[in-house]
Parts: sequence; C-alpha cells; structure tokens
Amino acid sequence: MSVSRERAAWLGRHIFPHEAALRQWLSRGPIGVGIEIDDVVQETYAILAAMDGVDHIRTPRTYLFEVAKSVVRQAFRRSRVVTIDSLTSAEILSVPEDAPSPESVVADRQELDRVSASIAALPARCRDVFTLRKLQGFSQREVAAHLGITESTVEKHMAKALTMLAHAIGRGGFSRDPSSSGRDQANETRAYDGSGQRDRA
Amino acid sequence: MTDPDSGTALEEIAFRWVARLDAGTLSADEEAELEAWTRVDSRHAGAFARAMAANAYLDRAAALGVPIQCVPTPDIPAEAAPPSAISRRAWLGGAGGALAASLLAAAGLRFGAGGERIQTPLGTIRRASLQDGSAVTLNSDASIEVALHEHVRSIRLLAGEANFDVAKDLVRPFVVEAGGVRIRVVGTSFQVRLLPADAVAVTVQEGIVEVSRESEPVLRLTAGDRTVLHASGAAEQQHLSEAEVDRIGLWQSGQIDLTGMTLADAAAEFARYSDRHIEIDDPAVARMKVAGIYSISDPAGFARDAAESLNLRASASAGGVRLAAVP
Repeated sequence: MSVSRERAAWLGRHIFPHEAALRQWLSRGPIGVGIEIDDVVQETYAILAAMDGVDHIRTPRTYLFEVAKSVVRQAFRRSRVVTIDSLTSAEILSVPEDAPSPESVVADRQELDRVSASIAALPARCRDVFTLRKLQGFSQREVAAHLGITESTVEKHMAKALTMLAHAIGRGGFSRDPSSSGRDQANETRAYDGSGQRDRA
Repeated sequence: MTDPDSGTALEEIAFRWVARLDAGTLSADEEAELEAWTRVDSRHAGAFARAMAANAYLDRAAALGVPIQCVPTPDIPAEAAPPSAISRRAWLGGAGGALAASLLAAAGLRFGAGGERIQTPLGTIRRASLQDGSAVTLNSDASIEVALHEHVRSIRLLAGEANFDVAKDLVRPFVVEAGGVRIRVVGTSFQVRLLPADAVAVTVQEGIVEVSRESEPVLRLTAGDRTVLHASGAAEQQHLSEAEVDRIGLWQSGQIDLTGMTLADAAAEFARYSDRHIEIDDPAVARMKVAGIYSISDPAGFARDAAESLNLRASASAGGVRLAAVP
C-alpha cells in the first residue's frame, strides 16, 4: 500500500485535525487564478505521505502549513500568472496561532461531540453501517449479515459515510467560520457548525 | 456528491478504496490496482493519503469514545427486547451507552453461541459496546471472546488487557475468565490484564467483583482494590487511591503515566503499543528514573525528552530509538 498504517495514523492524528484551518487559511491567501484549494491539499497530503520519516516533526501543524505554502509557491511558478512580487506576499502570510495544540485536538471532548453530531447527520443507512462497523467494532461482513444487506452495499455505505464525515470535519464544517472557498460548500453533507444550522458559507 | 469537480471525484474514489481496505477483503489483484491508482499522479496519492488520514482520525475518535447519538431507524426490524436499566461508569456518557445498546438491539445483532471475537492490533485501542449495554475497552494487542447467554454473560480474555464497564443485571452475572482466573461481577467497572507467566492483574474502579482460581477460595475486591494472582496460587493484594486507579486506566485515553518507573520499565510499556522500540544497552541508563504522562503513540518523543532531562544521547536505530550515556 502506498501509505503505511503507521503513517496514516500519524496523518489522522496530527494533520487531518488541522485540515479545516489550512483550507480556511488558503482561502484567504492569494489563491484563485488557476490554483484550486483541493489540489493544494491533495498535493500536501501526497508530500507528507511520501516522506521517509516524520519523527523529526515536532509541531505537525506548523509543518503542514509550511508544506502547503511550498505547494502554493510551486503552483504559482508553474502557472506563471503571478509575478515574483506576489510570491513575497504569499510568504508573509503567517500561520495562524489560535488553534489548540495537536495533542488536545481529538482528545477534546467537545470535538468528540461534534464528530458524534456529524455521524448523527449522516443518512440513516450510512449512519447505521458506520456506527456498527467503527463504533461497535463489528466487521463489514457481520454488519452485512445483521442488516440483511450485501457486503458490497455495506462497503458502499462505508465509503459514503467516510466521504461525508471527512467533508464535514476536514472542510471547516466544525468551525464557526467555515472555509469561504465557496464552491465546495454546496453539498449534501449536513455539516454541523455548533448551532444546528446547515453549513453554507 | 453533486459537485462534479475532479478533486471531489478523486476523493470519492479514494474513500471507496479505504472502505474496501476496511472490509479486509482486498485481493492481490485489487491491491495492485490500488497501488497503480495511487501512482497515476501526486493528486491521486494525496487523495488516498487524505482518505486514510480521515479514516485513522475517525478510528481514534471511536477509540477515545465518541458519544453515540444515533437513534434506531424505523426500517430496521426491532426484534430484540428493550434495553434494561443500565448503571455504569459514565465516562462515555450514560445516555450514549444506553442508545448504543438499543441501536444494537434494534439492529438484531446477536453473538453466536461460540462467542464473538474482538481484538485489537498493536497500537490500537478499541471500545466496543456489548448487546447487554456493557462496554469493553481493549488495550493495544488484546483479544477477547464474548458470549452473552441467557443466564450468564461470559467473556474470555485471551491476550492483553481490557477494561469492562458492566451493565447491571442481577439475574445474569458477568463473568470474565483470564488465564484460569474467574472474575464474577454484577455491575461495576474493572480492568483485567494478563501478565507474563500466567499471572493476572485485576483492578476495580467501581463496585464489587469476586475473583477465583479453580478450587481456591473466592477473593472479594471492592473499589480501589488491585490484586495480582500468580500461577502458583499466591495473590498479592493492595489498595489503591482513586488517583492510582485512574493512572492504571490512563491507557483508555491513549496515555501512559511513567512516573516512578525506570527507563527500562518505560521502554517495556511503550513496547506494548508500537513496533518501534526504545533500546537501552547500558544497565546504569536502564535504571534511571523517569516521570511524566506521555502519549502511547509517541515513544520517540518520550525518548527525546528523557535524553534531554537525563543528559543522555538519543539516536535512531534499526528498531526505533537508542538511548545511551553521553560519551
């Protein structure tokens, strides 16, 4: 597999919780002309997944922003739509400091509550499959047998549940000031923003 | 998804792969196909890495105890009995536990007569709700077998360590068997650990449990009691303060308290959670005392801190990190 379990766990623990903040930060920067936030985020994950080791990274959040910045810089260079001067303006964008420390991110009870709310907002069947599989620890095969559906249907529900949860959590669905990138907000995911309202920018 | 944007499309494909991996049924051909897909370009690789990251994030959230707010859906046949009264330690949230139980009941999930196996790979902590409303949290590299019968709820600890939050049921005792030791409870919270040489450690957080080994008198443990039963029949018993009991259960939130341990003991603790070991050759270094609470997934971070505070040298080694005296 191209991503080891160990690296996936590290990414899940130290990087994914900051993805929403990264997207928000990118959406405020000088992005727009020919550069998509999705592309920057995917390139950034690709770089972090391919690194030889991550043990030397003491503050993953800062590292994440630095890698993303380098991806943006390279995209600018490739697209040739901006001059060297705007590169400097991209450089001076500072990494936001207001987020909680990486260690406290998932451990935070409030965040667990929000994950729970996002799960509750999934379509019924998706939610049942996800809950039985991930929270109760039954195998996909057992879930299929007990819900009386095929294993391939369980797999499809799992894929959909994961996609929607990643969307809600990774794209600022949890934040009160959701990513203003605009185009990825109109989606069937009912992201939870703490006030029970739908997450539309 | 309604957005036909290619980034989103890649995401959906990546999550389909992750769901298939999660099913654990990937054939060699499919594995090669996945490998090829991630190699198409860096955006494919990145989409897959992100999907794996999101999946790992959700696994960790589940292990830490995401409160379950789901209510049973009407289209699932409600064939099981309504959940009974539940009294348990509320660190998951009592209501969540009750709903989890009712969801399971409504989904008609049953354990087979032979028992249901639940296990955790190295480095993973998993919390699972049982059909009776009890909850079990498995530490890294642990395995249990669950069989909920009409008159007894029977659990076998096959490997590792587990914490049990038992739903009260006066007519159906909850019995845990571990290495020839039987622990019988009615409703309580306690932890069992298989130690080397067939010894078993039992720590009670709440309530009363009865512990016995075949043909030996029953030991009655109450909250704060910890006993280690050796294969010889000898039992060491001690009474712990609430803080000490909490410390022993700290792994359930992904942490370990190393205070008072030697470096060698701390290295052994970390080895329970990761293949990346802390190696110490020098016995004088191994005897040094350490302190602090650490994340179980961060042996390297601990080694760095230990090196700094004890004036040692930490260097990368084949198996993990090596700690040595400064020459």
